[in-house]
Amino acid sequence: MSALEKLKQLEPIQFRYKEEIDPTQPLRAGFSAQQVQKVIPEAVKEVDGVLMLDGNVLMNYIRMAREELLTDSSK
Amino acid sequence: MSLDFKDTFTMDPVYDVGTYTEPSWVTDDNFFKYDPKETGGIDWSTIYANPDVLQGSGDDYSSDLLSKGIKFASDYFNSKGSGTDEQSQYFDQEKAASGLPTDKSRESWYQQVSPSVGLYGGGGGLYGGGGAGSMVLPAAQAVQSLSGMAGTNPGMQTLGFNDYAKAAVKGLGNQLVNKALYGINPVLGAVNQFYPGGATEAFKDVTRFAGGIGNTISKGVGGVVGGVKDFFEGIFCDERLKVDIAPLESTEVNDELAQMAFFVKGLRECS
Repeated sequence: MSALEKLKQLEPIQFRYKEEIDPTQPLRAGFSAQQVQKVIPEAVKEVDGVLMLDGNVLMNYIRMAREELLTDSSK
Repeated sequence: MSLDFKDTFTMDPVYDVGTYTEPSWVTDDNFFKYDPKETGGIDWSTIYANPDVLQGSGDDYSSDLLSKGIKFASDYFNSKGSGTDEQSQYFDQEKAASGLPTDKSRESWYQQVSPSVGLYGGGGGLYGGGGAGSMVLPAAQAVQSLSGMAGTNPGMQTLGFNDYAKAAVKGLGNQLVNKALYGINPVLGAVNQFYPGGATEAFKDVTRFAGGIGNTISKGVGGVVGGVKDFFEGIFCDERLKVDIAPLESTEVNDELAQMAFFVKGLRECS
């Protein structure tokens, strides 16, 4: 599956961190690590029981997707 | 366009921030020009003109604050980078100096560092895990925000976010959080120490500037890739840490993660 197709399977979310984590609780944009893990397992790692997203991996997928888009558009 | 990290703090508020839309909580364009006598904040001009005013607030940091800060962080985290469980030889020593227990099997503890920054350790509970030290998320989040801005300053790229997050997760005391921030940038250490509410409060406002820089550099689909060169490795995306989860429609925090989320949203809507 191409990077583009994988990215399309990700489900962007809006959320707030729990109050005890972030007292100001602004609305944020991002992803669910659990959902990303199903699509791009290498982009998620567990640190002390908490799932964390590796932004570098996701960024690489975006780069590859962009190249795919550019290639498609040049055909 | 070349931007130094210092620009994040000193740039004119009317600087072209491209398509960036101010979050609802932005209340004052002159955040970094506040009169300390009126706000209890810090006098930025004094700090930039005379870095020695920070002396003592970060222990042995003096005129070469950044290099010493980075060296400390490098030593502290043993320069092993992300993904290792190795601890610096200084870890227990520094925890003890901060008045924190060094016994990893100890039950949960909590320390309020500032009105908006609290440190959690041990116990597991809410976040699972149950290992030594569960979360220091407010402080770690601050570091995360900073890490997102690190792309504008090569000197800040020496250590990955996860190095700091790992330390946060393992439970640092106030002094160490400050040192970690000093390790990234001495001014940020000062923010955490002197700004009312600590770094978390200050970064709400900093994000506005950082987001502006990001959007100025990265316009359009290609810009999302080109404008962020050193993205952080550890982002708190675990569902268990979140509430009010819904399909993405809007955000009040315009960081790199938000830009990527909206990029993916665009891909999905265009397919």
